[in-house]
Amino acid sequence: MARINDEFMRQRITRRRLLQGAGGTALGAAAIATVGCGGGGSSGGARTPGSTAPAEGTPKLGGILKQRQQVGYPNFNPFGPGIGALVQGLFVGFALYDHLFYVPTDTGEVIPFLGTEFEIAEDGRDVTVTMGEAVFWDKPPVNGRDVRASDVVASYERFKEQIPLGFSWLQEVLDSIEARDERTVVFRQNRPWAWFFTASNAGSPISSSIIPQEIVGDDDALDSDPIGSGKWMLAGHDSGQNVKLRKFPNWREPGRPYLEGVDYLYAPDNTLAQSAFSAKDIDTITGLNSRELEDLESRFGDEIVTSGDLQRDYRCLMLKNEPPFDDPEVRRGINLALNRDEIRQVLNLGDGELAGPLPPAHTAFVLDEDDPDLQEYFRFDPAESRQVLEAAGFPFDQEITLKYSNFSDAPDLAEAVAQQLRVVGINVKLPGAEDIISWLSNTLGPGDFQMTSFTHLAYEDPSLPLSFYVPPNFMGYDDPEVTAAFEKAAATLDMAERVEATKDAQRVIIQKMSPMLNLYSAVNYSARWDYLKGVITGRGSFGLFNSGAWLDK
Amino acid sequence: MLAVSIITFTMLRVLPGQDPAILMAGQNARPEDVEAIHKSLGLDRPIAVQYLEWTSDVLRGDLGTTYFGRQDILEEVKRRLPASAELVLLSLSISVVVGVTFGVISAVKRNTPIDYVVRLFAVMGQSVPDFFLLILLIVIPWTFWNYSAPIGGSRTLWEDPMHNIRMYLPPALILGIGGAAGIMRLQRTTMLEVLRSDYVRTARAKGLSGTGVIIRHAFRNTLTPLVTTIGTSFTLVFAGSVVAETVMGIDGVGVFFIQSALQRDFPVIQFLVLYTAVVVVIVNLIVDLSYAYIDPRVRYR
Amino acid sequence: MTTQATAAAITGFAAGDSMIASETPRRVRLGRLARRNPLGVIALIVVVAFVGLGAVQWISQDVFGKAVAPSDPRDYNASEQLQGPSWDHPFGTNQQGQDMFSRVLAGARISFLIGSMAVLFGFLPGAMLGIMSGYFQRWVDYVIQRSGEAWAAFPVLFLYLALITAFGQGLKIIAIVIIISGLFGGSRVLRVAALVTKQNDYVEASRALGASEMRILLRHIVPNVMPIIIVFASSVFAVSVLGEATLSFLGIGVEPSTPSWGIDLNKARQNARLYPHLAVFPGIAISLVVLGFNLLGDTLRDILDPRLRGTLR
Repeated sequence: MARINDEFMRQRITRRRLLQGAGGTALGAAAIATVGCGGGGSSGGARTPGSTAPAEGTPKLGGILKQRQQVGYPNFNPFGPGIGALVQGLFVGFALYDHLFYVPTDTGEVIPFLGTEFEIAEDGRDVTVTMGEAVFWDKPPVNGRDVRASDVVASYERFKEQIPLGFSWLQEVLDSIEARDERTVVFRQNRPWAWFFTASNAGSPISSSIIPQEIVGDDDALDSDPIGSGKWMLAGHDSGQNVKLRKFPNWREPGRPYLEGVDYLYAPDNTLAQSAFSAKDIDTITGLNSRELEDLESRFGDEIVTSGDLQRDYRCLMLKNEPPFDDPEVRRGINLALNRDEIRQVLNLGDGELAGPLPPAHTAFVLDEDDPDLQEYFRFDPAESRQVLEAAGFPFDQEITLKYSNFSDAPDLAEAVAQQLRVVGINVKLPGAEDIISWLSNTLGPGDFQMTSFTHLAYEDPSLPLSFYVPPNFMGYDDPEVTAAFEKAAATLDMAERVEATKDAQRVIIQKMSPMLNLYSAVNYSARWDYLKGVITGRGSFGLFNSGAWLDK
Repeated sequence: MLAVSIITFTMLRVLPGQDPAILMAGQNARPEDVEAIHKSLGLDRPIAVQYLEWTSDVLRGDLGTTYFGRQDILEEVKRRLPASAELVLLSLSISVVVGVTFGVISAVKRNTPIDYVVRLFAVMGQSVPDFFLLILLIVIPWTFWNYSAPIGGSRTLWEDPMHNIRMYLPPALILGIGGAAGIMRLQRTTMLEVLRSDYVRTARAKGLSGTGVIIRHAFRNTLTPLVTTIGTSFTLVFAGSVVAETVMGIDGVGVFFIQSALQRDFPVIQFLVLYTAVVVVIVNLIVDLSYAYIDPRVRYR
Repeated sequence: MTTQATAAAITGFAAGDSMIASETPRRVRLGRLARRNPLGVIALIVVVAFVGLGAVQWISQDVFGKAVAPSDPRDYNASEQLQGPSWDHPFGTNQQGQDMFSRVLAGARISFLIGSMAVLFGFLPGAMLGIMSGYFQRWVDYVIQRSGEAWAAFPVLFLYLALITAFGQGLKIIAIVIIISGLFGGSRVLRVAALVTKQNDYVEASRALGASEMRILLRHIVPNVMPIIIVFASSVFAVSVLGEATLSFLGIGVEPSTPSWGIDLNKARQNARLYPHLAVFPGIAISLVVLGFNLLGDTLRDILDPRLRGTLR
């Protein structure tokens, strides 16, 4: 799924974090395991997500943070219509609705949100979550009542009913969800699932949103007048653009957030957004390349704070598993024609790391650089590509269409891929960019493409990136060995063993040359004015739940 | 207009394109899901019936909702219209003022350096693409003064005058000067003709001053062709406004229509055809009425 | 609008039945015209150069599959990305490392194709219809003018949006729209011109001599309105070049890997502050060509309009 919104889709992790990642993930997994074995042990509700570095002084209350909004939301309904719902679903999931828990990528540790205690049954299937206290916004028909277990159940049930995006934990693994009492929720899975707590599964920023029972089935309300229990309330917008959020005074964490609100200013154009940042019309800017960053630094020096992070999102070329791409040899030929270094140079001025079946930010789970399979995956050899394709009987005279969206640099990516495939003699047609929302719903969702190139979202755990190779998926790809390897990793609860199983799954995917060919993850740069404090950087999307940002002006 | 609307309606539904139901149902949709969406959108009935229903809905002021956001199309257009209208009208006013003023100057100062400069400027204004100038409009103030065009939506003139002016005036100047070229050139030509005519010569012979003659006698007689040209200028500025909205991040109707076309949002495009026709009819009507007002010889039967 | 302005200025010409008086030798007359219209000469040079370049690029790219340029305008060269103008790359390179000079040269193809199609398949048939409409009048006139009005009432950009919604993007759709918009560009003016020319004595005379309608139309009417046709063709060309560039700039035009000035400008928009050369050269290319055609049209109109001619000495 394409990268949709700077703030919500790009998750950054600093290089320092990256190096620590392996250890951190193992630690986090240990924490989950402890909870599981101990039966009812609390993983600690006292920790505050997004604590501020003490050097920045005492937070000032109030003030409105101004940020860029890159796409307009068609509505605020996380249920659709269609899979275009991803666009607004992520936004409302992070901004308006609360969740039971969340797992930051860098530590892999379960951070309790509304949930306070987590208990995994001996067989690894049932998970029981005890909830803390919180209230919804004070708006009819909910009128500020308590958040109950039945709300959680109703929300998960509707997300489960929702038309699936592909292989999804909700449909494939979750059997049912029940409210044992007003404060206890039980998830019943049909098999042990090691990734339960992570963002692709029960802790997803979209489908773990807690929506009040009264409106969870009411599309009119969800479209335009949502009610949640998150720290921000929807205060205004122009048909999904220029969204204004204001502090929810009765949020479950007293005293937070420090800011009075966040205003998103709609600016689809990069140039306009960067000039708005220079004029201090917005307080942060993301998605810069190294030269743009140098430019800002030379102009504003110490007035701005900058950072550069390896993105968790990653670019890929997806092939439909139909002739001619249902032949692994053809796919091998295509893969040999892809010059990942060149694409990275052209799109991100060379800043980034190549991506195997898992993007590089998944650190511990990723194949080593010197892994022979991974090296083979990254090998570029147009001459051999041509030979392989000819041997496989590839139809060079046939026009092959490469579809893409108009979002951000997606057209540049498609063009670069097309250019490289043309070098080996493939007759690639670019039909023109589709609007991002309709590309999601018309092209990717129904699998209506021969080839499509795009930037995947940032995923918190390896399960979702790997699940794209498992049926049902957009490519119509079904390989029993790949599926078995994926299932094995997901069923392995022990951390060290799971890392190995995940690596094995990636090797199988490479050997089978499964039809989603990943390219690389970019390093992007961001800047903010120095009066914005308490920002969490380098902790993936976890930073989006930060309630500790404040303005020193 | 009826013909155009029937043709587009049929075209959008019959031609290959995409079945909106499949789009909305998403991947792995079962045939019965698609069928249900067909039913709910009324796509399972004959096209003639669909067209009649659409027409009757439109006549009742119900233009339907967008496919992907379920936004009420009429509301959305109403929300965006003031931005586009302000941009278009402001640009058009600038076109008329600049075009007429310099057209008259150019005619009166015929074959002087002023005339040449003005004419060269006019042909440049017509030739340099708006979008090239709009890029410069963002980049130059940003580079030299860290100034940015306002983002974050429109405000009306009385809500926030500075924001409003900063948002609309600079692009309107670019569109307006581009649109002024044609008006200026026509104004110069007709003015030259009028200045050579007998009655102007007579007025001059009677000893009236130069400026008086130009304004009282000559200028009045150039109004009729001027109005025609302003009418056609409108179409140009209208198209230019779509480009300006895109580049300057103004959420007007133009970007809405482009986005809807890229989303294959059929109800919106169907409405777009109607909208365009209405705008054009209104503009032509205004032009025709102005004739009658300006030139007493034109009377409508 | 261009057309309307030109129309108003030129309809007067149709009343005059004589071409430029021919007492002095042709070469001398041309020399005098050129001296009197230096801008027109420059415009003519630009137009001829552009048409030549466009035709060469068209033939080389569509027949031989290779642009006439220092390097292939589509080839990526990541190691030379984002360079400023230099001897090797007079217009610098873009983020893909493509040589901008080659892209600007190669981009002439699409502008030339679109402009030519608009004139040949849109404007010229439209002009013929206009002439027939004015000449035959009655029902022919009615049908042609009514359908002309129906089209004139439709802003082309929005027609284009409706068409790409139904058919998807592509050069064909652009061509259709640009041809349609060219079709009725000059028909009204030519109708009036034909109407006026028809009233001339010599037309009556040749009819009296038994010439067929076709013969009169081709021998007398068409040559007489030819200057108007040229003036209008020039402005239709300019408008079409601008139209293609605008659509491509908006990202709804030709295929993105096609060398096109509008596409290059759209890409340049993203980093125009740091690399202004990426915007400036394609911008100048478009402006220059459109300016050339507009100036040429202007000059021709000034020369051909007898009443204005008198005043321009």
